[in-house]
Amino acid sequence: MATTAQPDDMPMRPNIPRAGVQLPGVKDYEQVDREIGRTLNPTKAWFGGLTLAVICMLIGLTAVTYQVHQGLGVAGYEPPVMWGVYIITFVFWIGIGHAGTLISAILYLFRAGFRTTVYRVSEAMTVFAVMTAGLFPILHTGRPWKAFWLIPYPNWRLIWSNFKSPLVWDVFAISTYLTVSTTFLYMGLIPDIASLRDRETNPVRKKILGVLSLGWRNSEREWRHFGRMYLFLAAFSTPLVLSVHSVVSFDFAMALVPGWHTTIFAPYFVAGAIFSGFAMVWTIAIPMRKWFNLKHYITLNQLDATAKVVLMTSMIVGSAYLIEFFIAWYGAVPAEQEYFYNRVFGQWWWAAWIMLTCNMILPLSLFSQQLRRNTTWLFILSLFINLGMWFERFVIVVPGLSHEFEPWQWSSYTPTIVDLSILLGSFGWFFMWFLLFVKQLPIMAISEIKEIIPPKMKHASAGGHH
Amino acid sequence: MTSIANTGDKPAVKRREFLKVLGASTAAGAAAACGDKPEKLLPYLVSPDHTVPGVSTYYATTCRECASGCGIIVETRDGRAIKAEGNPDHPVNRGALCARGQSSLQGLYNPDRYRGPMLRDGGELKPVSWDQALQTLATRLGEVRSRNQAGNAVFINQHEQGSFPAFLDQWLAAHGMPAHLSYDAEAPLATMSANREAYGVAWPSLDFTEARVVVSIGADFLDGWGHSVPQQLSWADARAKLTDAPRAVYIGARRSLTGLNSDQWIAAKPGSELQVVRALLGAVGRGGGVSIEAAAQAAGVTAESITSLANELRAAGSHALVIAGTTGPDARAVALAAAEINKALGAVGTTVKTADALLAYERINTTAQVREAVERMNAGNVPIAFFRGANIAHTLAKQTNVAAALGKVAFKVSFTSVKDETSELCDLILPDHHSLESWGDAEPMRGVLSLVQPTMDPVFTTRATADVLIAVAKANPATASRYGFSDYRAWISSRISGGDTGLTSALPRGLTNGSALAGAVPTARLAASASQAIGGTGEYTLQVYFSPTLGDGRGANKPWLQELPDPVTKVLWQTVVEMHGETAKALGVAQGEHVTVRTAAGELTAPAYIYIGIRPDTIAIAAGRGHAGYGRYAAGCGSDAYQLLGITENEAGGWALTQQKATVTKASALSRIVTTEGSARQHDRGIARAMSVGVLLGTEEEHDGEHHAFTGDASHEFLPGLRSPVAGDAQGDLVDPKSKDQGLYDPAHPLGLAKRRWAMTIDLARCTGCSACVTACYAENNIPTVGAPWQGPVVMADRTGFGANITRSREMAWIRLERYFEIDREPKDVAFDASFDTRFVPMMCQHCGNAPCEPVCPVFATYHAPDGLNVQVYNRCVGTRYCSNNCPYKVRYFNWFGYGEHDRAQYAFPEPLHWQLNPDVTVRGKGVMEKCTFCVQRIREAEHHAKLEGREIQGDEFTTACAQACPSRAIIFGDAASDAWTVARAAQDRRAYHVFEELNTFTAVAYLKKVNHPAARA
Amino acid sequence: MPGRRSWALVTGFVVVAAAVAALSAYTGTLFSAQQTAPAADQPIDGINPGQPGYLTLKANLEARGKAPKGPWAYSGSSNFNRYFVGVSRSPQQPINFPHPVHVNTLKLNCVFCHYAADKSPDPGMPAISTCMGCHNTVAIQRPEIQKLKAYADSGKAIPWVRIHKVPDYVQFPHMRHVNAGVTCQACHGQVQNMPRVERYASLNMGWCVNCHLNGYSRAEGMRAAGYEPSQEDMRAPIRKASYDCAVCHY
Repeated sequence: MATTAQPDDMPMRPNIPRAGVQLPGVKDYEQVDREIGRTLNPTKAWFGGLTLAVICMLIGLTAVTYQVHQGLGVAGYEPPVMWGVYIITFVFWIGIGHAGTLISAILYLFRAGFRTTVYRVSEAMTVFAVMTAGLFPILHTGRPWKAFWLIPYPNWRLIWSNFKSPLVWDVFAISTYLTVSTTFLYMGLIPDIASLRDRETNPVRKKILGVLSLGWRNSEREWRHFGRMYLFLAAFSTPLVLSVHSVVSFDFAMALVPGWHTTIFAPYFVAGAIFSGFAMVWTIAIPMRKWFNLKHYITLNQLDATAKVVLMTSMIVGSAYLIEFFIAWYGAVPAEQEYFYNRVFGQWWWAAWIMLTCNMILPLSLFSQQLRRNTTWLFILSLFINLGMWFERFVIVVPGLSHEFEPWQWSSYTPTIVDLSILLGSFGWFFMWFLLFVKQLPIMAISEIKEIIPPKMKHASAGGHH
Repeated sequence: MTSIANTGDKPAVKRREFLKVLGASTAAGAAAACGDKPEKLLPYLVSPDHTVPGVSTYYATTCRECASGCGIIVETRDGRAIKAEGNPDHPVNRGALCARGQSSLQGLYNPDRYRGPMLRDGGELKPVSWDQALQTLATRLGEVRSRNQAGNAVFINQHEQGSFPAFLDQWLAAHGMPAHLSYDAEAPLATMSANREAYGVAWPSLDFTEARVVVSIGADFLDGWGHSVPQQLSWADARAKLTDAPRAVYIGARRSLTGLNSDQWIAAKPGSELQVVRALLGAVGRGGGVSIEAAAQAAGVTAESITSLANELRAAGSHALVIAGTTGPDARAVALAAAEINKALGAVGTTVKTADALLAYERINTTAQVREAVERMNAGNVPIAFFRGANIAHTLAKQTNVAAALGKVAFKVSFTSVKDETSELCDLILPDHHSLESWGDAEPMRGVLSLVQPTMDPVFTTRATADVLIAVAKANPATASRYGFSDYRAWISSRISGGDTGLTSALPRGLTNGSALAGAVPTARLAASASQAIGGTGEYTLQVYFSPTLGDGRGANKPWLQELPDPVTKVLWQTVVEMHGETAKALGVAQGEHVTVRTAAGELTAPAYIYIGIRPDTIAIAAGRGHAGYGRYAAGCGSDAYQLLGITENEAGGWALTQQKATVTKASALSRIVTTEGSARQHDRGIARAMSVGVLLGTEEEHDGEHHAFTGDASHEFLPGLRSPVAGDAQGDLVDPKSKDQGLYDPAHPLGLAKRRWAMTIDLARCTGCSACVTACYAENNIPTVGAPWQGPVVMADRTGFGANITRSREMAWIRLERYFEIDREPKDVAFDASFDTRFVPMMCQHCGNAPCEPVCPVFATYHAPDGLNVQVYNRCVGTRYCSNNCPYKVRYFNWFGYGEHDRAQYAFPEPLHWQLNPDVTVRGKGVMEKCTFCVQRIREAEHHAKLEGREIQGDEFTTACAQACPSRAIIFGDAASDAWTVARAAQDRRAYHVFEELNTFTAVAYLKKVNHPAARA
Repeated sequence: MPGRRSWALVTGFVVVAAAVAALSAYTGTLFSAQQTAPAADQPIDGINPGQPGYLTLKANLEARGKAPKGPWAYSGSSNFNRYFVGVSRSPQQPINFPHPVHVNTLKLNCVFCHYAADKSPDPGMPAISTCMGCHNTVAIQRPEIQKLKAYADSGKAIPWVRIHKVPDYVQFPHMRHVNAGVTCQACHGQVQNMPRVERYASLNMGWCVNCHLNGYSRAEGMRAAGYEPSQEDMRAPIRKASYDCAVCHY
């Protein structure tokens, strides 16, 4: 490994992703323990953020209660637009979830070094995003208290769920994804939890961390097993990255609705998911490296590399948009052609253009290296992309339904305060969990970072970790 | 079904106790199935004869919703009337029934009826006992007579045909009072008076089947004008003759439902009808005195159109039919000229059948006479006034000032059973029974006596007016001698051949021979008086018309009718100002923006509605809404068109509703149009298709430009008919011959469900778009109405105002009538052109053999039954609404608010409306999907009967509610897999097609193309 | 340590489940009749033979315990288990109507009173007039009959507490079942041996479907009714019914 020490403000060529990653600003293990450990101390800002998140969540919770009591009519549905904000938000959060597994699993297999310091954050993000997404299919049903009927189990009614229905596939996809990503996150955490445990003074926390670390003793044997297990899990969850969002896309692709009924949805959704996931990683990581003074851990080189991924996925998504129009023209189904015309020039032009601008046009700026290495721009862009990806799902769900085969039933759609409160609540729920996480467990893989930086000479005091 | 039985006597009050409970438990609904109070089982005290709990009893009676006197059969279950259907034996309506007739049930169970007698005490009406009420009436009568003022008394009765008018006149005479005024705002007085002069009868029956050309001058014979059901039956039969069908031409400033069903529209200026019809008269050989050119000039139409029409009439000769029903001041002259044309062409006897005339309007009085009576009140020389049903406070011109007039009457008695504007001004309310609770008769045709009998015990403590009158007369020694009989029933039976036994034996059919009109005073004032010129100035001409759904307003308190979209505009729960797109541009208003209409009489502000079927110089407003009172569903809903009309009467004493000049200005407000219409155009989707008659005659090539066919179209495997293998299309994977067990889907299964395929054909050549099927479906399937303000979403602005959920297109109509205009751009951009084609298509669940909704349901709540039904299991539904997303026909409806749960603000069946609920159909709860079931409850019932009688179901043994009601006989339902059923044959018609067949849905509903008669057949 | 914690969790679940089961079982059988051997011509409850009411008490005693408890198979909510609001499997009725007397002693057929069961979806409770038909003259001095008379005179209907109810979204045609030869007891239990009627079956969907799917055996039906099936019954074929959802749900 390159061990040449150089200040991180010194200009440097963007690193080509390879096994090694340069963290010149990080000198030794103590610094790692100290600086990462420091991030665990709660601050006023953190308490403020948490309160805000909880308040948002409570607003959403109130809206849900109200809706369950009153009936779905309080939401802005306007038949035949029978799906709205809830399904949109569901797909949105599932998409967010994807970057995590991609970074931690696929990039791990590809030995893409720039993942090292961001993968913990994005994994956590994955878990919480899926937790959020999982709520929506339930609370968008007319009778949420009966939603358990979608789970196949032997019952005295002697009926099963319909395995032909994409919604049942969703149940499996999401639950699987949640389980695996949670396991992956937890397993990766074990060594770090152990090191926290060793440093912990508060007996209660020490006990809890002790339990969570499953008695990790940092022995050679444990590390060998750990490595194998981690590799296995990475390989195991890699196909999930592709499968889960493909299954979600089947909710639409399996249907007859013009604009839904197309075969490119699976790859198109997966690309979109990774796209939005990376954007969300920026939205979280960029402020974090600033506030927690971790600029020398999450270096511009790494952001630059992620920016390249974003640029690529953005172009995949963009071409998917264009292909849809081509197919509509080529397929010569009048209903579909009219729908796509209506999407961009008709009733829903504004939504469509928000989507195209945010997801197709703005990301092209990442061709410029200056902008790729400009954190402010990346942060702003990430917000735009999140917005754009939410509207991508809006453009898929709503215009398709509002402008279907039967002209007599064409209609419009306007969300109500209930829809929006629940949308807000979902963000509150997500960030509540995330904020709780960052103060409980290290947001970076301490052990992996230590692998990168040069070990100390033996004659120095054998402090640090045991 | 149990045979039509009648039970004369039923235990009164105790029964009602039982019924209340039963009604409540029925209405509790699916979601409310597990309430938290232990449920009680309340048995009868004395079990009524002939009735078995849970089994329907059927009573034949006569519909009183309009004057026509159609025969109806009322289905009662456990003593509650739950459905009204046409009486197949009845000569007038032959088993069909219009939407208004079916809604009579909601009049019976209307929550805003008077619960009992009321007396004005200290300015407000307070409930009193019947004894006290009758006592008050007797004393007041005594006072009037003692002061010898009885001669000035006024009794205004809602025109009802039968013996009651005679009975009433006798009673009035016995008390020294003048004969009563029989009032009906809807009565086409001018036409009747002209008919009397020309044909000698007020209403000859119109036989469209004999006609080759039908010319209607403002006669909306499909909109409820005259006798809608018999006219529609005859019209549909005529159009079903396809190549021999009459070509219809409509002359008028606004294209009504009749106009839309006509093949040609001559958009004559309002007021020019007289010249046009006189020109035609001249052209057929009688001196009309008007040249065609002059007429065309006046009407603003091309001379060719009138010339060719004249040629057609001459060619048709005795097979022509000219009907006039204008409502202008010159209406009588127009009708007279039209009748002259028929006579000139010798059509009398062929198309105009004077022999079997309809007598519905016998002994009616004119609006003028009623107005004069009100003026007498205003002059202060009317001591006592009686009202029964007639709601003059709403339906008379506002300048008549009914309120002030009644204020000057010392004592006002109302026998009206609902809280309407007039009765609320009265001092004593003696609520009458609803017609479904009372005895009576009618003579719709000469010699045919159609009986009215109670179908259930009174819902409230009301009393039949006739019995009240008898009681009063008996109490008075002066008159008691003349009232020896016990009650009105006895009086009626005394007039029927065979007496009481004759009556009892006639009741099962509801018909007998005899006359009810004996002793009735002949209609007064039908001699022509001078026609009055209509006043006012303005660049637009206002045309007020009676709403096809609400009539003159009497239907406004029935949610079914309020929620039934107007067949033409598709507007519901709202009053709009109809104007052409060009007019709207000129005024600078968009659809929904409010406009203020000013006339000499008054002004009205309502949202503008753009309708391509109206002349740019004319605006139209439907009467019927805008009630001040009249119950929770009517009060404050829409605005009142009558207030725009001054007192102008035609020569026959009828009120002039058209030719009023008006100015229109833009107002500030904007409101969403409450309509069920999405897009008014088909966008070449081939939903409602038509073919020219030339194709059937073989003179034309069929061009299938109606819809885009493209690869994947499976119609060749499927059409004609519905011959797809049932088990095959039931569940895709069960077609596989290798699959071991197809279970119930195996046609060889002993239970034989898979032998059947329930299917339907809809003949668009017959369908007129009248929407009777929609109301029939509401009545049969417990469909909630969702348009009342309190049913709207709380968090939304549209909570306030009628049409709450409809503005979010959340109507629940399982069957809807789509009305498509064949135009190439949006109505607002269409330049005025009278030659557009209109298509009506009833759209309900198509019960696809290969249904897109089925595979996507995660819990099998919707699936394909072996007998070809696409089933929706409400209690299994989780409410993901994926099925609706995936339904190309968009015929699945979601229960957004639990309209069936009695403890909610959105409850659609407030007591006692829920007594009408069909016990055989689940009342759906919150959060479940629902849709047309092909009336599966009727299928099961037929299966039960067949099983118990140890036989197979016979062909055409039963049918769905929509098909049963259809006054055009356009809907045929049955088992397409067996030739015993008509539907199997009908589906083989060369006009048959399936909507969206290119989607390979294998629907069970086959539509038969409409047939247009474009060019004149000379 | 994590092991220990999960154990605590498991035991917790077990305890709760057991408590619930015990409670519902207890309430379910709360009112079930206690076993008492019929005494031959002994005074029962201080009423001697020949005194009014003796026959009723005797018949009830004889009937006691004969009726088997309902099968707990497919036991799930039947939408009508609302123990805590007083609807148990065997609630107290306004009048203690003794089925044993009328069926076993007087040999009345079920359809004699529930006259609509074979021609209507709704079997119907007998009208009070039906009762008074006999009890105008029979046993008028007994307290229960006095109650009956009071209802008849006051013109109020008897508020029988409903025991058997399927939810409103289930269409159950009694006549189809009765005419198919299904014994009343197959679903209602041996009412003739119930001094106070109790719900015999769970009435949940699995219970219905079980019979529709696997078929009804006359022999079993007779045994359920408490009679020994005849040879003919034994030979009678199993009768299956449609298990299509839309047969009951619409």
